[in-house]
Amino acid sequence: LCSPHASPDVTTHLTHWQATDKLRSVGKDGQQEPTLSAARAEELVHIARRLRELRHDRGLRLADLAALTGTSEAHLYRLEQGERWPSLPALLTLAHVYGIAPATLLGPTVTPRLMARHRGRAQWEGEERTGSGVMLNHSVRLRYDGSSRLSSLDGRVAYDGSDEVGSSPEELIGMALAGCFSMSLAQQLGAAGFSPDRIETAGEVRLGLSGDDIGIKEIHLMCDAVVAGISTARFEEIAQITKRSCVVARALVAVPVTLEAQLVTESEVLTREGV
Amino acid sequence: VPIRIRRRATASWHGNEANGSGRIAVGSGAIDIAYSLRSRVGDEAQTNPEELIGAAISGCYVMSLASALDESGYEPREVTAVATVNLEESDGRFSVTRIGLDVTADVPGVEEKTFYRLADMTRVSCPIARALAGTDITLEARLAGAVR
Repeated sequence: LCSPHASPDVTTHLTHWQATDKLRSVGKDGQQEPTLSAARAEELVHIARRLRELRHDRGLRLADLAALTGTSEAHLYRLEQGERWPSLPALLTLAHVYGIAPATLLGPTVTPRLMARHRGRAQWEGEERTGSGVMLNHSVRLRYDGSSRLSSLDGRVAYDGSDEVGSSPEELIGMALAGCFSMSLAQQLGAAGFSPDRIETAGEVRLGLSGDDIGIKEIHLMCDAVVAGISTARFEEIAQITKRSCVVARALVAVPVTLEAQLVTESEVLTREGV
Repeated sequence: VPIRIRRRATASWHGNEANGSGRIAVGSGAIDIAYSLRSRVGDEAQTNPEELIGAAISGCYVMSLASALDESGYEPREVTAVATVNLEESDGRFSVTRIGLDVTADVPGVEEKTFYRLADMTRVSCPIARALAGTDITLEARLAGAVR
């Protein structure tokens, strides 16, 4: 369970940790200083929160983390709820599994700031096989039903107001990921000092149905980009990182995403008619 | 033989993240909507990927719940779901931290207890919810006409 890999950070923090323990035990008249115990309670909350955030961020279920760490789900749950202090070996193991320096589990956390709420709405009438529904938000209104969802035909989509049926939730997921990836790649390229001119990404959602089980098996992204002054290798590296790190990809963590990304010239984009 | 269905969508982005803008389209291009950083974290009335996620999961949810009710011997008249997708920033990074589903259903003859059980089961079992394992999905469900 315990494979401590000491970095300078760990040592520093361990020293601090022991020091605080000592301070507490030698408090005047055997009483804990109120400020100190308040600080400890706050640290426990921090650790629990960091643990929750990390697992959430990695897209792991408690069961997955239990398998990776050799710790019971119940114990991990208590750690994430701040009901127990993690032991030092447990802390080091968790840091190892998450690939971070153990000290970052103990450091101050940044309170998440709610940036935006986005809404989608759907209505379904009747039973699954014979009924039909509509998915809408302020810019899209789509009708769909069982056959439009399982049809292998592509692109039968109806606009607002039309009675034509033909979309699927999977198609919207494809839009969401392609949209997020393109924007995120612009950001990543910008951060690396390049100025992207045009990024075009197609997302293909592959839905598998075996027996009664229907599920998204894979999403394939095909990206063409016009970016001046970047090498192919550097571009591919940044694109692969974006594929894993963009907001929607992290939310869709249960689905394998594959990516083909290539640099093209502006005229190539215009003649390709999409990707 | 497992059935495989492929859905295709396209997005294009012009310029950098802060000042650029993009379009998201499906298949034939019958849907083709603009988006930008402002429509994503600001209040500009264009679309954004998170909203599409909301439409996708609500669309998947209502269909799956209709199916679950049907299989349990009920005939749902109407199931409506509103999905609220929370995009939050922490440590300089944005994440979809939670998706809230607000569900109303008109199902003759179903007991509340059975309905809630099926509604919660669908929350974790519908295909889009399973794909979105990186975020928490919460549910508020009620039967139309039920006294609360």
